[in-house]
Amino acid sequence: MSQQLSDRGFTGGGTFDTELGKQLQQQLDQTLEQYVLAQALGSAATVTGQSSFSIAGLYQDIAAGREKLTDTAGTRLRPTHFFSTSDFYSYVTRQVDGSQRPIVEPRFAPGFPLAAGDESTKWSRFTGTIMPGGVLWFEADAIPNLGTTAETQLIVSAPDEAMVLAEGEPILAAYPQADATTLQIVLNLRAYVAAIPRYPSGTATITSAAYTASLV
Amino acid sequence: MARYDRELAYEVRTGSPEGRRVERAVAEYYRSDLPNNRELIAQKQAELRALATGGGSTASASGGGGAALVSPYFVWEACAPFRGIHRTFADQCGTATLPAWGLELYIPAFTSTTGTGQQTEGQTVRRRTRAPGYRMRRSRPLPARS
Repeated sequence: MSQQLSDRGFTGGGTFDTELGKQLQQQLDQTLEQYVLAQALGSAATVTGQSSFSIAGLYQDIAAGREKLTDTAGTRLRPTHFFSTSDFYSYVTRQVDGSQRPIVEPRFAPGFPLAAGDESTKWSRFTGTIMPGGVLWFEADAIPNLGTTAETQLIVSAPDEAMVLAEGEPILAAYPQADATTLQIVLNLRAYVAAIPRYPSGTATITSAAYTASLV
Repeated sequence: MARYDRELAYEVRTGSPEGRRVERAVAEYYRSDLPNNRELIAQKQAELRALATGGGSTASASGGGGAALVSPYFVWEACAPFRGIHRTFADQCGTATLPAWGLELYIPAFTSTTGTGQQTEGQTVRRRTRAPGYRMRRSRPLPARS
């Protein structure tokens, strides 16, 4: 944002400001998503999955992850969500049976509701697919790979009960750069956030050599 | 006034009630008894578009940008943000109100059970102290800047 624009148009709150605000908010949301995931995974239960990929093995691993939530004394949550990267979702949904029919298919229109496309809705990135055990499959591209390896993590969780997210209203601040030759100002959008695992074992991660990050 | 002129031209193009009012005003302004009155009005109305030629996005002294007679038109309503990671997981979490003070939040938690069991008459009452605790997280600012 230029100093000239700030001088000439900032008071009016023009469209440029609105779009710049959207961009800042989106990047703030990205940082928030990564932070919340780190808090959830930091204390999550772990499942060591199958050594090689198969749909049956994936179902078995998801079941093991679900029972981590349900069998842990003091936790005992009904798992509701399954998270993976979009790459992994694509890989699973292109698996076919002996008659070339897809094995895993969505039961609902992805991104429901169809028309809105609002990323802030609770249905953001819902794939429309429900896995065995009644867990909704979501695509979450912020899921980190495991350690330094190329394995991706799969997440089974009951996030509504297992995690508590306290989030403040974003605060916008502008800092004019004194003596700057380019006459730029810096916009800062920040929010105070606390994500607490209410039930640390309310989230389980599945990792194995079968789920490499290169699967697409 | 130039900005208002652009706004009215936009209203005319979109055919809004305000745009139709502008067209009627233009027609009224140029109303005359000349035989080619209708063509004259159409020409004046079309001039709204005719002037808007070559509005470049650059401000160079040479070339199309500097030679333009009008400001470039940006479709800001369709601006394409640089998209990245969405709040997929965060939006599914339970929410709580962030207090207006302090930097730490505490969630009370029971980390063990109380004691229950069948009571035998005349014997000591079963008792057990549950373990109290809390789950705590320091709230932290997450910045984004441009």
